[in-house]
Amino acid sequence: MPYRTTRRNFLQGGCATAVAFWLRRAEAFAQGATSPKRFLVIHHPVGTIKSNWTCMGSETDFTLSRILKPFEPVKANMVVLDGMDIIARGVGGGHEQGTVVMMTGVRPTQLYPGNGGDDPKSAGPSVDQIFLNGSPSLKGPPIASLQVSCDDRVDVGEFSTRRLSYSGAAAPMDPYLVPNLTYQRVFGTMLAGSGSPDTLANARLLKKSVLDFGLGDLAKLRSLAPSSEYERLDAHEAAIRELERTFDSAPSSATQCGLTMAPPEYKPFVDGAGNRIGNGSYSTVNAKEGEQATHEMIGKLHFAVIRAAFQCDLTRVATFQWSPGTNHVAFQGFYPGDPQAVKMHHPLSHEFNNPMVPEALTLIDTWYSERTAALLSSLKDTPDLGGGTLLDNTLVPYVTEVARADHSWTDAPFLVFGGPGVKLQGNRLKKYSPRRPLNDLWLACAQALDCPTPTKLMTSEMSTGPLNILMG
Amino acid sequence: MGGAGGPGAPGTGTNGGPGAANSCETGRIGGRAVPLAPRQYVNVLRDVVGASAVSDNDAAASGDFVFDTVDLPWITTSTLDRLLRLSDGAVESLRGKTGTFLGCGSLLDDACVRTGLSKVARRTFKRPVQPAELDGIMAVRQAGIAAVATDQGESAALAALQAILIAPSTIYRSEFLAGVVSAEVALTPHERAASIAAFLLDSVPDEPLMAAADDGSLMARPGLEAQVDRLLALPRVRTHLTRLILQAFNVPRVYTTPKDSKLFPEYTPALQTSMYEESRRFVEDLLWTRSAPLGELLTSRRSFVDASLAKLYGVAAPSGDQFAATDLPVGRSGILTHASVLSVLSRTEVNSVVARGLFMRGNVLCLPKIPGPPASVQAQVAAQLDAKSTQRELAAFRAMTSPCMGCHQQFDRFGLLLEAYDPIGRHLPAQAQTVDFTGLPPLNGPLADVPALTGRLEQDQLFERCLSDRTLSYALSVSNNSQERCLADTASPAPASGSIRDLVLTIVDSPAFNNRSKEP
Repeated sequence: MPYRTTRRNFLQGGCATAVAFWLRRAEAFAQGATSPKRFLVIHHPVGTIKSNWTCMGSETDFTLSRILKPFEPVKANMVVLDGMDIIARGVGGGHEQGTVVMMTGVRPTQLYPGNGGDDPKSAGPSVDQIFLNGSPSLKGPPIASLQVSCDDRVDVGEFSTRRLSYSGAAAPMDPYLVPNLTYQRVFGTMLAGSGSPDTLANARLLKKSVLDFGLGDLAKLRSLAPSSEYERLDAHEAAIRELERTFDSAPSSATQCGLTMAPPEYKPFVDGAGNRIGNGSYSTVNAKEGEQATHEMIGKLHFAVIRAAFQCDLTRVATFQWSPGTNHVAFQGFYPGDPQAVKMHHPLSHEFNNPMVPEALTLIDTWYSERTAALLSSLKDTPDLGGGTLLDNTLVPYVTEVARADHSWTDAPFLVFGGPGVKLQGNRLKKYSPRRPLNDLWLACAQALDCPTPTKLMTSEMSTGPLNILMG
Repeated sequence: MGGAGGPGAPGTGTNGGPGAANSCETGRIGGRAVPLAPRQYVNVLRDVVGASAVSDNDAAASGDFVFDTVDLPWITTSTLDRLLRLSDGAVESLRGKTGTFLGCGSLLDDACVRTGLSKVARRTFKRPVQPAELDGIMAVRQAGIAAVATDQGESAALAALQAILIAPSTIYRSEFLAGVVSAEVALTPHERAASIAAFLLDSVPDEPLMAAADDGSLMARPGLEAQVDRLLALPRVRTHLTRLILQAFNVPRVYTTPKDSKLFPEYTPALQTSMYEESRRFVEDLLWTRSAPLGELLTSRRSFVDASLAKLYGVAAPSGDQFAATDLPVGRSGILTHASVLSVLSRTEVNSVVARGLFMRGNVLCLPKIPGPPASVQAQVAAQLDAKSTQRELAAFRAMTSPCMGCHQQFDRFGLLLEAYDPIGRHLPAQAQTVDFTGLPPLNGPLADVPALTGRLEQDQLFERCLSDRTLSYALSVSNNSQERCLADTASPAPASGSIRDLVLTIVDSPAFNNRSKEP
């Protein structure tokens, strides 16, 4: 039986096996199990225009700013953080180092060769993986964590801006770029819509034996390899074991998890010569056509899979990247005075002295707010099996890698979403003076997620202690 | 590139002027487990299982090769998941034909299935397969027979085949299986074959290459030459190396490089396609039809034009829609003055002295990288770019202003020489000005135009040396400008003054390609 599944198989859904699985899980929650805690990082690129982002009012009585206005439907689950710094004192460029430091909480000391000369390697695991490894509340589902990105075009091929998650130092976890592949990862383990339970069990067993052979082969390779290759091969072993866990678990039906259609397949980013479109140049601002509709569609499709995976407790940790900080998505209709103009986000942001740019960047950041708010609303609208909504039980930092387009990292804009399940008191505006380092947010997240304090995030230059954003 | 937000790092060569030596250690790169890139994995599946093993959509989603390697990929969960699904699709493409594929009348014939699988494993593992390994593969098949008893052993055989295709021995090529000999370790014949295959076939070795490794003939010069000549005659290898050269000059980017349609109404998708096609035909002709010296990539005026390009270049148009060979006018000089390359290295509305200069410095001469402007001057840079100054005025400002001058004097002058071509590559003789390269060794002195520059480069084989180094880095899967590249450079082959055959042979016969350091 193939590992690959077809759309038709999923749409059939509802077979005895899947229903039995669903019922078992539902019964567990009906008997008093609480909803699981989850952690989801959402990244939007290129900072913000702070004057249009800043909210006015007191901690509990405030008005959402122009850029944050779209979050009104989820304001009750939202904490606005005002006065935060990304402490980036290592090596690397504005967006590059900002992305790595933002996600790992430690300063990078090494660069990837080439790539513009400012592409840093992570010096440690990312916070999502730190929490996953440290928190018993996040463990259990068959898929330890999911990484998705809606676009990977960048300036000069840099690694750092295209990845949020790291399993360790210089060990990036590649995100899924194509929603259909994200879907296949979560629901394509085995045909949930056909076959008897025995047939499915046998097929899973067979796939496990295929991977088991790989483990043995890898062990032999490792025994012969120089020690400098151990880290690489150990990461491969971890990947095999994680995929094996998928086969250990019962199959899931996407339909039962609230996803009625598989994302369509499409050919991503291929130019006229058949080459994969990779890099742009940040000196090229104009593009041929606006891409925001496609960008939004990819985001929605990716997120629908994440939501479904949360709904069926197939994973509890995910990172969602709209685009690299060096964003080459082209936006049309956002340039003041010229509705036909098509401008790529990051290259446009470099026109520092162009008086039209702040308004254009405001409109683009507002666009990201609108789309992200819609995604979060879908979590808020989805009941969780153990009580509350998915959003109530999911801690969702909304982050960006620089404070502003000039690459500064001080007074950076961050939001956190969640609810009682992750101890978050929403509808709050938290103003910090003196400003607080971003790691203080991660320390609070660790507390909310029952993760022992990650001591590596607590160096004196990078943290001052957990933010006071949690209940109790 | 996101602006310099921190200090430079060791090994990035930030301060080296032209000709400055990197602080390289001596020695070889260490033995590695080199993973297949996803696109190479697609090639492997198609080569071993069949052309229909991977759909075009899946192939397109698996990325393209890049000439300047960034870093060896890691096999993380999403990558392995991807490879697993590709292998699943590949084995399923055989369903109903598995017996024929393995050469067995019955898939319940243990001995025959074992033999068939061993042939596949030998190819994808890129070495002879040990009996114990085959036992493991057959154990997967046995588990399959126990699990699926209804299809005469086909699912079981396919599971065993998938175990081979997804095995780490397939995914990696090793560089550490030979015994230690003195301070260095030579690749085994099969490791050498695997490295050559990755370089030229973008896949695993084909059967003749495996045979040359089996009998050891690949380790001697005549055998190596015979294999290189055979491989270079294959259309797929020629296509691959042609694309590699085109990538070295950023030619594919012409498809995604926009221009202001009001300023350049003739710059249409059709013209962009013609620009790419000209450069492709130029490289193909030079490498494979004429076997010309590689230096001609920068000096030859022989090219191929259709009607739209003929108008752009000011030469006679061929009849109909066809491309035809022609000699471009004086003032043109190789691919560097092709409309494709010049368009890619320009801004939407105007030329870019900086982009063209940096390209010449880094990609044509392999001089050390120059860092981006520090954050402290970003606003000044932006102000300069926004000012209504010409490229020449901007360059003059940078040449007189600290701290700009420290870096820009090392590359702006290349860009100024290319100012004689507009943003879509039209020659503007009136814009040509002699540029003084004094203080920029080894070019020291005035150069009147691009042909003078490329002639000067040819004199010292500076471009050939750079292309040789970049190709060696690609063949070794090491990063351009990395410390690994540094180590390779200390033993890099002499610049190939000859043809593509000379370059390939020099690389695959070099100690840098074939030897690895012993682990301390």
